[in-house]
Amino acid sequence: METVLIEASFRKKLFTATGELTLDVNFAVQQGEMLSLFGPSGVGKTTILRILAGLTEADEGFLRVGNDVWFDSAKKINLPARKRPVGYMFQDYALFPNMTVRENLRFAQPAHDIRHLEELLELFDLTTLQHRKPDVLSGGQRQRVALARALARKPEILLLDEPLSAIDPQFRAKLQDEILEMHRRFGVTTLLVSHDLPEVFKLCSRVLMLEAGKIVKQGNPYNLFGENKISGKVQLMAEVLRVEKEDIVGILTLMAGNTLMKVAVCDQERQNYRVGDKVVIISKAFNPVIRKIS
Amino acid sequence: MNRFHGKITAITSSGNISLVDAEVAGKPMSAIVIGTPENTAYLRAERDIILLFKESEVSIGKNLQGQISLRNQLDGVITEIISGQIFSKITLDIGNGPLVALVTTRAAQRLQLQVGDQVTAFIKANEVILMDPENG
Repeated sequence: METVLIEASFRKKLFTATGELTLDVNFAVQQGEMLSLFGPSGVGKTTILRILAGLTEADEGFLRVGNDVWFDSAKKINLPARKRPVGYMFQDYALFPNMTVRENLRFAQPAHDIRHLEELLELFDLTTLQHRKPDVLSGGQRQRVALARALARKPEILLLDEPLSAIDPQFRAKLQDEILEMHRRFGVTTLLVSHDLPEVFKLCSRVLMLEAGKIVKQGNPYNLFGENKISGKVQLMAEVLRVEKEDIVGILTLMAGNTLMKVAVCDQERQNYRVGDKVVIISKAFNPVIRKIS
Repeated sequence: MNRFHGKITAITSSGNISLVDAEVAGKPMSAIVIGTPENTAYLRAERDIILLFKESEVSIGKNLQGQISLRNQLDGVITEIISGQIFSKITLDIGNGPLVALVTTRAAQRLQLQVGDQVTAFIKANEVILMDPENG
């Protein structure tokens, strides 16, 4: 039986680039779930994470996590951010530049726990980099430090705000694998804000789709994004990495998950595709040829 | 991708596989799909449907006689041929918009295909994808 970890229902007036907006959401998150908040910019996705973390206060509503009430406007309860067991990974990582990798992780721990710290350094392949400072690390390494730091306080809830938006598509697949591995290993209930459809398909079992401050749809990604309206039974979300012309046909190089593949299309169709486009590869169940490899 | 609007005329199911007959501008076409009317909303007789199939899954016949197992046979007139080293793209007017076939240039030469030729396009029913127009 699945247990509900988070029960949230809150409202907050927001002032966005496009005007005033009332965030008004009601949702529950199961223990151990990886849930995506999906939708265009400025609909309140990041605000939801901030309210969960206690960095922003809702105008009214309540938030219950496990058996504890973290926020209840009627009873004037508002657990301060530092008391909430939440790991937050921001879009820009927000690492402390004057601290080493190890110090960044150490600083995030409420109580010193060397064993857990070493485990995180090892899991994220940071042991050899632990005495470096963030500015000498690559984007992917910084992302791993930020993720490790978010886990350093042994959070009950992990909040990832577009964690991979600044990473090249080629490396993104590997980092997505690391997030998946982290999730398998620690089983932390995770909320992920993402614009990236393939990423949502790969990482999340459930999606809350937001528009103008409201949850307009929710469900598993396959049902939500309409792929059940087409008869092709083989469907892969992918990103266009390269568009080429060979002979009179177009060849698209696509990244589906962490697998590179090539698909031939007619030349006219080729002209519709640009590098970075998100696509779905559809094939009939009858087409693929299968061979066992073990 | 070839894309035609049609209407479902009949559905024959066995287990979870259905043979779907449709009418596309007065011509019969068929698709074999996994799914049945019980579990797939758009599999309903009289319902509008979009049929999709890849250019490379279309075969071209000229002056054909005898019988062939392919269910989808669309007669048309060649309006354009673009040939590369390996492939030729043959565009047909089938009376309901253009249909594009990608065949080998060798085959196009063997059939001596020319603009204005009356030919038949063949598509296997298991290569036809159905799509709900409400999502298309």
